Amino acid sequence: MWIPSSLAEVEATIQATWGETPDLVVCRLNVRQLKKDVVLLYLDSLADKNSINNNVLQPLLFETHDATNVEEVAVLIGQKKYTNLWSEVETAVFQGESVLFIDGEQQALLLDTQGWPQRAIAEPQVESSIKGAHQGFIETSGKNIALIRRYLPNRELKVKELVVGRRGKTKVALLYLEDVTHPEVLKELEDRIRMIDVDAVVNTGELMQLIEDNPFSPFPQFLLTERPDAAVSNLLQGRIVVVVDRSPSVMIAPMSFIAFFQTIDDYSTRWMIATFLRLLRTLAFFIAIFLPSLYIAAISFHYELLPLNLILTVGESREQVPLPPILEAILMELAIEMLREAGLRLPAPIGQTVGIVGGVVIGQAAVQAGLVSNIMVVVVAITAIGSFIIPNPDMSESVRLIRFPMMIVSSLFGVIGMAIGLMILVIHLACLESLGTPFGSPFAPVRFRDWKDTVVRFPLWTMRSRPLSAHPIQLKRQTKTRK
Amino acid sequence: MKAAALLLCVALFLSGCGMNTKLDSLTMTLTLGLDTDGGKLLSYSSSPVFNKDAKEHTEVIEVNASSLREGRYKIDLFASGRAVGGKIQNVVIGKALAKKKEIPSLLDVLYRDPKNSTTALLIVYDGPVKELMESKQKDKPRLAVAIKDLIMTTAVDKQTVKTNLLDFHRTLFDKGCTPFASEMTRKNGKMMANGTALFDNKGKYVTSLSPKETPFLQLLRKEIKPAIPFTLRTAALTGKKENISVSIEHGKVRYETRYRNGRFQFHVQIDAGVIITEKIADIDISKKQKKLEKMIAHEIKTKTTALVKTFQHHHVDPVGFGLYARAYEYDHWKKVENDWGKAFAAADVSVSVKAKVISYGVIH
Repeated sequence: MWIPSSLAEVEATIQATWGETPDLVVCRLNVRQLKKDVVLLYLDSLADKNSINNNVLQPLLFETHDATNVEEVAVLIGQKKYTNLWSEVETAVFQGESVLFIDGEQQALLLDTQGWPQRAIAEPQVESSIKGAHQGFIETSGKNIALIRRYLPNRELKVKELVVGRRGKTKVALLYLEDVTHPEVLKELEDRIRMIDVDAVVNTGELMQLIEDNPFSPFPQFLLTERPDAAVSNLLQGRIVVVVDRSPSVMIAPMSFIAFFQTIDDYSTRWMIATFLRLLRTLAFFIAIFLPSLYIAAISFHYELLPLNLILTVGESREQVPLPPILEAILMELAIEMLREAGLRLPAPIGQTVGIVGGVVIGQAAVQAGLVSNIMVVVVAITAIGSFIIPNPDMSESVRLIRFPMMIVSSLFGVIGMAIGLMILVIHLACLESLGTPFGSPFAPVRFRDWKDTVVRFPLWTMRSRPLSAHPIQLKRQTKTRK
Repeated sequence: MKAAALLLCVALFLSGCGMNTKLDSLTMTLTLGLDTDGGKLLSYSSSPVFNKDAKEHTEVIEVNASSLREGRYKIDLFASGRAVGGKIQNVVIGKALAKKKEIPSLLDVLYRDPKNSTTALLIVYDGPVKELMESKQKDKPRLAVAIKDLIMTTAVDKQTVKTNLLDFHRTLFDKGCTPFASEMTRKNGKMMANGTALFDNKGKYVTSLSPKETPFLQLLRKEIKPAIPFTLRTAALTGKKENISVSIEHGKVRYETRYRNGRFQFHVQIDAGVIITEKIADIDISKKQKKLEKMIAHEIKTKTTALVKTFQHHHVDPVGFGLYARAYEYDHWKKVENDWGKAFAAADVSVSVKAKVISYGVIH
């Protein structure tokens, strides 16, 4: 539908389009520059009033120089757009822009006066870091892109903007380094996002699920982060950063499994410490998955596994426990999961209460009442800590989930069951793909050169090429500067 | 493909769930006892009890059976849980039984059934096994732990040996040596490690070495680490009844093997580096070091020679001279390999020792 040229018709159309919209401002003025009437249209709630008053209304009312057409109207706004389509007017109004209709003109002027409520840039809540930057992404994509651009003032950093959602019309921006990112990977991601046909994408997490390679896997195949420095570090490895408007986390694709166990701090600490921490995380990964099942297997099947003194300790601590090991373990694991979930959703002051209740009830009372054994409490506690060490929350949750089938398998088949579980897990991880690139890289397929930055972290100057997992087209990252 | 995978998963979950051995429902034999009482074979099992209502932490069961496996079935009749042997720590055999029977045939089930532990210590008990199994020592942990700790730590000081079932089997199977095991007894109501029991090549008990002789057996077997301590009288040097304690910290034991005049000849060359750990005797070591060294060497030589005489007398070879005979004089060895004990008894064994004091200790 075209924009009507007479103001009366425009006003009628506005009336028809926005019936029940109390925050819509329709303002008819006489403009001296044009010697014509105009209508200024904006949504009060999404537009910046100061900007409209000072940069639009003031010049319109008081500027005296003559203008003959739309292009010549003087307003103090840098970003001006012209349109003659009504649908674009609608979109613009809903994005906080103001629209200027001029009597007798087919074209309307779209002025960038956006100003909606937004949060200040703050420290990332979920992924805090010791040495990394203390700026986290916020809910405005423009600001988020700005945060990334600050790290990469480079013309190769390209931003491709798409719109997702019929109603939501969410702006989704793909950021990538044009000379590093593989064009096919980029095209694949773009195609997948374009194929999405939903009402709205409220959060990056939703977008992620809509375009994942294997939606039936317990593992996340893309990384969500709220840290600009982490996003930039991945951009430099040839990955693509997807910034979704209105969501404080950005998505990084394609991803490899091992990258979920790395943090930005690893690169700013000394390499030995970083290596130690990464080995610790790898250990924690296995503990979080296998420790309860190992306990169950050892007690229900393979008592020979335990050294004599340990078996006596375990036996004594299980003296008055009425439950079989699997029930004991599931009871405790569920209790700790409930505690976690309760603590997560509660406001901080009440959250402490949960900790105390949980600590006292589980740590003390359950043992004294003879419901569970001391050893089980220790096992559950170590498992919980192990799962918290995994830096990525999505991966940590996956690991906590996998633990339960492992426990069931080990209660049925002991260590054999665990071995089968581990094999299925490894096979699954080796089969997974992220945007068509192997998720298990550099272990499956084996790429020895990339092992420098996996469970160990070599000194920075030895990592001279970008990892192959995202298929970068430019491999060289730096020259040899030290021996 | 997917259907097959699904079927496999289902099949997995259907297969034997009844195979589990829950810790709570086991009667784990930790110490296995074997003894004889006039022709009868007695088998004892000592196992921990995990129950808050039970007054005693250890359950001891005595049965009379013709073999160990039959004994286990009988033990099962008494035990509150399933009797299992996967965690056996000690196998205690009464000396009376060991003298009477060749023990390998008794222990067969421990080697044959893979569910049984083969790393259990083999111990010969001087006295009725019943008194050890039923002994309750207030100042000691559970019986199995107490026995094991006793043997393991004493073996570090070389006053006994540690022999597990596999070691025993290996030394028995090897024609070049004969088996040996640690020995225990009770004194003043307390159990004590009591040197080494020697067996012949059929696995029958022959004789024992005292805790004072055992270190020299270990020396001959080149088991020197961490140290071999012993105390010697210095009467020859000072004329008084005084002591000096030394410990062999490192040493080389070399065997030379020859076959002459229809018999084997072994020459054992021991180079020992000793440190002085205690000196009661009034000797100025720095002045009399050479003499002291000679005296230590003489002591080692006397003890080892006497030991070898004992071995030859009883036709046993726990040191493994036969291994050297086989390595260096195979043709002659081949003829006597099935009766090595006898051939060894006829062999000439000479020992020469060089001792060197490498440290006087911190104060001197």
